[in-house]
Amino acid sequence: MLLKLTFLVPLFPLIGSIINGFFGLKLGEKKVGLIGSAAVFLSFITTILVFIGFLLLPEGEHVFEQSLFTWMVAGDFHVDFGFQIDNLSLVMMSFVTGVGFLIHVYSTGYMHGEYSFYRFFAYLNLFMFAMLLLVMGNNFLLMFIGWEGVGCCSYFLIGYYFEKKSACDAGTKAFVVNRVGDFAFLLAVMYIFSIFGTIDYTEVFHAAPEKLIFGGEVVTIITLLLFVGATGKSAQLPLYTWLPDAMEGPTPVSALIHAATMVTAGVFMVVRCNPLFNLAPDTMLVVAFVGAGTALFAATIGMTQFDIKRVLAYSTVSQIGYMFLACGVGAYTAAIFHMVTHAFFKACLFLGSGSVIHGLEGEQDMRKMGGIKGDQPITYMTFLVSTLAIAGIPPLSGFFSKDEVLYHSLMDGNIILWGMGISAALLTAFYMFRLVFMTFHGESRVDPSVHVHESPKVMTLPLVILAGLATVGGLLGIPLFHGWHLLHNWLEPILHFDLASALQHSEHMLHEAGRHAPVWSHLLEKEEHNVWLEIFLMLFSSVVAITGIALAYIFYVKRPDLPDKLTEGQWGYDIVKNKYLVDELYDETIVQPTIEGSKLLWKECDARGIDGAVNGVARVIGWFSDRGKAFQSGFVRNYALFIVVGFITLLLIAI
Amino acid sequence: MLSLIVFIPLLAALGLLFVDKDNRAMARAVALGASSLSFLISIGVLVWFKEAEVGMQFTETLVWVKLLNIRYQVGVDGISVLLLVLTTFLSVIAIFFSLDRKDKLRNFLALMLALEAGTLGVFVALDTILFYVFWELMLIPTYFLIGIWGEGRRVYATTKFVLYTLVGSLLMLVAIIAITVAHYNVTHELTFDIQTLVHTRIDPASQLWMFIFFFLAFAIKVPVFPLHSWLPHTYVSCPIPALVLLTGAMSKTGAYGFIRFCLPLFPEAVESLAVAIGCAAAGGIVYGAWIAVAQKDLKALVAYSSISHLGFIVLGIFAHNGQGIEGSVLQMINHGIIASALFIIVGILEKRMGTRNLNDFRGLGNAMPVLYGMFMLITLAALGLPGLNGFVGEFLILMGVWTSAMLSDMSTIFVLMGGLAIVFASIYMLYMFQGAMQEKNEKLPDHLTDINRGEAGLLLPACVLIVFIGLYPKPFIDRVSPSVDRLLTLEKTVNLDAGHDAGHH
Repeated sequence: MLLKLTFLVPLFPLIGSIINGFFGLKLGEKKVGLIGSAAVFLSFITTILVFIGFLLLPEGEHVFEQSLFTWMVAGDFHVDFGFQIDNLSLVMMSFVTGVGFLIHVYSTGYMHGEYSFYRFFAYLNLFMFAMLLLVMGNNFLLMFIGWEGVGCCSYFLIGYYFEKKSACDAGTKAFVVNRVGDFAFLLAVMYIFSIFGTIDYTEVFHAAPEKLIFGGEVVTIITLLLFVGATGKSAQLPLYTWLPDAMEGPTPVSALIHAATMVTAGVFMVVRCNPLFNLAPDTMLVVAFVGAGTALFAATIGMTQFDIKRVLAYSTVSQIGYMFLACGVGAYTAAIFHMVTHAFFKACLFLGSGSVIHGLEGEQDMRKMGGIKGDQPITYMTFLVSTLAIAGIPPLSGFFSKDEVLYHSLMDGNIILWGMGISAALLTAFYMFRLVFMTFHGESRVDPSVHVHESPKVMTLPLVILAGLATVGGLLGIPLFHGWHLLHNWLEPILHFDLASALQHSEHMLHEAGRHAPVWSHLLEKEEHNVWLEIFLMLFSSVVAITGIALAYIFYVKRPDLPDKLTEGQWGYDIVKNKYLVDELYDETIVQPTIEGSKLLWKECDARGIDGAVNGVARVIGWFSDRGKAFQSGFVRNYALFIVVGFITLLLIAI
Repeated sequence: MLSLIVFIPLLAALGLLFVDKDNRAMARAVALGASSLSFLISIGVLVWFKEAEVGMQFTETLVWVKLLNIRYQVGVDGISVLLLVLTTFLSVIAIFFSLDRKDKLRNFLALMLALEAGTLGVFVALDTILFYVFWELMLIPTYFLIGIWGEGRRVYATTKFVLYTLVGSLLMLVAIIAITVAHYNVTHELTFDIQTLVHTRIDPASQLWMFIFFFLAFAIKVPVFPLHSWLPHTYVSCPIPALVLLTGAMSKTGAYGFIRFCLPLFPEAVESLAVAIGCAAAGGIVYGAWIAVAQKDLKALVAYSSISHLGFIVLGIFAHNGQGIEGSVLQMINHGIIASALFIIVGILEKRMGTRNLNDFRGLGNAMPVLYGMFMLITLAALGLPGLNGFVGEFLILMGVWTSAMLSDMSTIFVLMGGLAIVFASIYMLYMFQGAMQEKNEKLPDHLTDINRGEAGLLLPACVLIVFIGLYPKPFIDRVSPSVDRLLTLEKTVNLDAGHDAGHH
């Protein structure tokens, strides 16, 4: 049976990583690149086979579990090393391996001639392994291995150029910030175990409505902890600061890890845990507002940056904010939809920026670019298509997914959330076209000694494929027509939630505890799908996107002198440009006190306080022993006497 | 077999004294041969150990002092068998690492073997007096190892260490005698057999002071915060091979003592003091980790991080449930492997660079790619990355604490403190790695070479175990859990309160 192949999907990249890691130096660049890419390609092919196997499952079966071995057993705690194949994990596996393969191919060109080429591919394959564990695991702890595993690989790859201090610092920062979130995740896992006695998805999610009270304290705390974990990995407020710094890594890494896959792990996790989040309306509100807030916040910073990769980094933070906004209003399909389309266009944008940097021999500052669309025609065209997609111009993929998010944020959320979302959309269109215009249009500001050239085919081909996917990706979720939304139909089995029955269980549990259930009846009133409203919103957001583009055109093509004039001496602009001084704030309030506290604790408390007290005791004893010298006669019989007396005294006390 | 494991190193240590002190080759051969043989036999014990069987295995009994019924009695259960193998394993590594020592090699090796024998004896002794003898036997070689071959304020450090530990162990001796007397009062049977004594119910008031006496002895040895102040001095002064045994094996004797003595002998005292001990342990977890952040001397950094990791172990033990204790035993093994590997790396770096100060390193990565990889793996294991061994232990301990009935109200706070320490751990470990291996250094010595085969061979077993235990800890936990279950379900059949021989079987 095809599903039995499941374990091979993560195994291939692991093997590739081991081969390249241990023998890569001897194999040489060609073979290393081939092995690295082939490993992911095989993984992609296996995913397709597993997908077919899943489609062949008998009617009514939506989950396939494959348990490899028992990982840990201790006391009454038991957890398997096993995989779960269902509609959600298949979507994730497909796009992770698919996009991952393209980026591997691109990397063979981009990293050409790079010193320790093999190390790069060993890490990249290892990342694929960890990411696949994350999405395929059948329990929370296995997800956690993948969760920290991808973080660890991200640390390796950010610090790939480990001779650069800034790269090392960025890597360490990413790791530590993620650790904060990860621990919250771990707490949630422990809490889940103490409530359910298991951490297997199927059992936990099945029992959730019967064990957790709707809106109760327990489920709210669990989901909040999970969400804190998500904010770390997915770079949301307030733990987003590591992602812009992570751009120190090579550009394919930014595309694969810090745009398409790893950073969306938080969204995946929330969707995976939707049976828990559905029971916690308070958490959902937090998720929605953090998401919308991050979308807007990061977009404002994105407008002011000049490093091409940093603009894209803030754009990623902002777009993931949209996905959380969707999760927060219960539109999980929209979240996954946007995740997939975002993977296409953002991977294309990052790889495109890599192609530009490659062509300009390492230049990342947009103020030193401009007018290179003729020199890099393929890069330019693919970049433009993806930019139109992210800006939300119909009929490109980003338009559909973003509109679905915005529609639900108004219908299932409220007008404030929608307002934040649509404002961020305006800013997105603006800063993305600012980027395009500054990089490709206008007059060249490129250093004349640099010979601008188009990248080799192995780099442009992935760009073309990704741009193609960014164009047609919207077909996955055609709106308006009932039943045409493929993704919605596909994810239905894992998103199915019977609110009425959950509420009944909760009422029952509350009664048992002698408490009254609040009035929940209003929650069950179903709002009709309003087609006309949706059409109106679509038109409106198209207008918004075009406005953003038009503004960017005026500022950066028509009147390139305007931006400087308007921002000159504006303190508000300076604050945004300095990223709201959040890094400085964290440094002041968290980093420095930690270091100073450590020194203080060491010198004052440990050396002077505790060790001083010990020495003090010794000194007091010394003083007494001076007085007691009379007893030290030097005669053995006296000592013997003391020992016997002491021994007897102690025994008397003891008895 | 167990006697062989213990006495081969001890006899070799004595035998070394008859070897000519300039005959370095002979001294090496004896030391290496003895420790390897001991290690091989211990592997045999591990292989033939019956996993499912409850109770002590490989027991040997001899009457030692007839008058007082003190017996030479040894045996292992699932808890001690792992620690036994850990000790013999680390001894081989430590002796290997000391072979190129210049001054007084013979004596150094003899003392190392004696230290090994003492530690092994502690793990196998089933008679309280025998336990005490081995306990003190550990102290003497340590005193000289630090006092003679140490560095810095070595005499101050070693005197402090010995006096501090001695205070604890004398208190323990008093309690050891008191327990036997208490047992004698009920049964009129004089015994120092631990397995018999654990069934005696001691009245709560006596339990309390006896427990405290035992606890102090063990807590100083581990050490538990705030009784740790000997540790930074000792670790910084201690020669690295001895440090491998000290941190890897000897610090576990304290934790082992908690499990073997404190929990079964004094259940009521444990119950009433568990929260207080938890506070000390959790305090130490954060305290050690936080101080480690500011350390520049690599030895001091690993020393303070050890205080933190050992705090986890103690906390898990006093969570007093399956996950907690099993996690703790596993974490003893893990810490033994990780901390000793880290100290060996420190030794390797010091040998090449002539310094241990982080400010003087930087940028070794390019010149030492093999060490770079191994050091990275060990660093990640030390900070508890899932998939590697450190995580399994820490997770089980935290899980045990979270679900602990005994730490009830404080368990959430303890877990949060553990979490804080985990974040600190990633800070100090990664900055240590970055400071040593990464970044650029223009002033590297030209002759700098990567680790040689021998050095790689010392680190390789640790690396393999780190990955293996991380991915498949089951065989280890499976050996521990029957013994832990027995410990948790122990029944008190000899009842003191009743005032007569209630159920003496």
